[in-house]
Amino acid sequence: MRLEPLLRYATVVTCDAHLAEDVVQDVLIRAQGRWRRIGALDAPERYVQRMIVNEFLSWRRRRATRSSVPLDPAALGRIAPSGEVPNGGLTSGNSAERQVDDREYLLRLIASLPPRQRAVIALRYYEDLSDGQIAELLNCRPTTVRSQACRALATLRRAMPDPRAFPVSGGTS
Amino acid sequence: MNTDMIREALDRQADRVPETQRVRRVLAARAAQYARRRRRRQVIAAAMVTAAVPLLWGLVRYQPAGRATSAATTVAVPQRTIPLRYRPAWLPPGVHEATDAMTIAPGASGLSVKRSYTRGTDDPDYVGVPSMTISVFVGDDRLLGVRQQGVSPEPISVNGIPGTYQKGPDDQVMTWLPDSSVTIMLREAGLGLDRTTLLRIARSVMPDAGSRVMPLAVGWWPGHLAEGRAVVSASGQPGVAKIEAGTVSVTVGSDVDRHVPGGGQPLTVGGHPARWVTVAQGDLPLTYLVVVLRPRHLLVVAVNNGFGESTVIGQRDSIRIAESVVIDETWPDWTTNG
Repeated sequence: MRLEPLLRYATVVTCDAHLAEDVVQDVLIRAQGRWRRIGALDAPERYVQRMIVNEFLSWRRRRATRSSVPLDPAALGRIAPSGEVPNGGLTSGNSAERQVDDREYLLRLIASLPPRQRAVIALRYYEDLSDGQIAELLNCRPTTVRSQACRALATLRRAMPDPRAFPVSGGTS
Repeated sequence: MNTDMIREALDRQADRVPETQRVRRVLAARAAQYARRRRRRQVIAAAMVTAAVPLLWGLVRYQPAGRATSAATTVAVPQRTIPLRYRPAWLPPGVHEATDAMTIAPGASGLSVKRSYTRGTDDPDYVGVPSMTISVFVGDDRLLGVRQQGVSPEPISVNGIPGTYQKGPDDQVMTWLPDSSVTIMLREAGLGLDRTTLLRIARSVMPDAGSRVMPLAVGWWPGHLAEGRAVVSASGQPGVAKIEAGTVSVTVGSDVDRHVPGGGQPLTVGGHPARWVTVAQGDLPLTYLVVVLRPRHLLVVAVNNGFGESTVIGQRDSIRIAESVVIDETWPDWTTNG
């Protein structure tokens, strides 16, 4: 099992590279002590990923701190300030810059979602997991996953209004 | 804007992965810190136990096993037994039990036992060796028996108990819960058994009150490691005993160097001839310290420094581990095969 894929997974699920680093370290230290048992599983990497998600959610409960998304300095001056809704994305710059800025802005919105919603969005759209698989990871029902995704997408849609954006029925079960 | 934008945004976030080498260094420091904290807790716990022992002594009598032998010191081997829990009453012709393994991690929430079966003489503990295993997961660990590979489970009945059957590309698994605190997982890979045969084995599984004695103990591990699993050969098989702690395994017995490459640096460990072998497997360095205790009995300290890459265990630590090993001289395989 390699460190970098785990870090990448945690970086996306937490939407916070610093938090991801802490979470992965904690999980690996705990996993190492019982690695023979975990390694004997058919999909040990999935088990460690589940540990990462659980650690992230519990970490958030303990620390109750707000995470931040590091933004490219070039994008910082162009994105809308918190609470200000851009008009269909961003209005300045060329097309490529706009796409980058839209992604940055969207990323910041995702990072501001409640942790469980954030994890659902990451698992659904980055890991391409079905709602059933996400439910198994988060130890909840698929309907709960769908409602979390629904709320998250509604939040994102409100912040980035576009009639075509973020269809609620985007996942699978 | 659509969900593709979310994917693009998350892809962008994935590119912000922390620098791996730096995380690796910090991880090593944190692992050491964690080990120190754990040792402090153990010292406190030991002090509490010391205070409590006079009270308990009349009730509980510690029973060490017989004489022991070691590359460096001779101490009594704390007797550790592997409860076998369940066994199949029927096996296909030619399939025999090879090893029994038990989770021994301190503080483990549950206890799992794995009995391994094979047709040949290769150790089924090694990846790729055709084998069948019966794993019993107890207590909180029972969910470890639930597969997570995304293959849709097919319902089965094992003597009236509902269970599941899953067939993957390389193996097939039957899982059922004989009671509320136990999960049994029967897994077959490479033995060529069909679903009907596997179900017949599953239906023959019955409680087993027997146990196996672990004849091996390791007196010293690097601070960040804790013992995780013990493995001992089944009756009638060449005597092998193994204890695993994280990335390190200590194996004693006859014919245990089949998986160890030849050559290496000659050494002397505890007065015994030994060799030190390093193998680069991809970027995962594997090391083996092979000590010849008796003409047909070897001690192998194997280290996989790949996982987590937090702390590298080198020759010095491997030798120290080997020198702390003690073997119960009353172990029948030790006395008859020596």
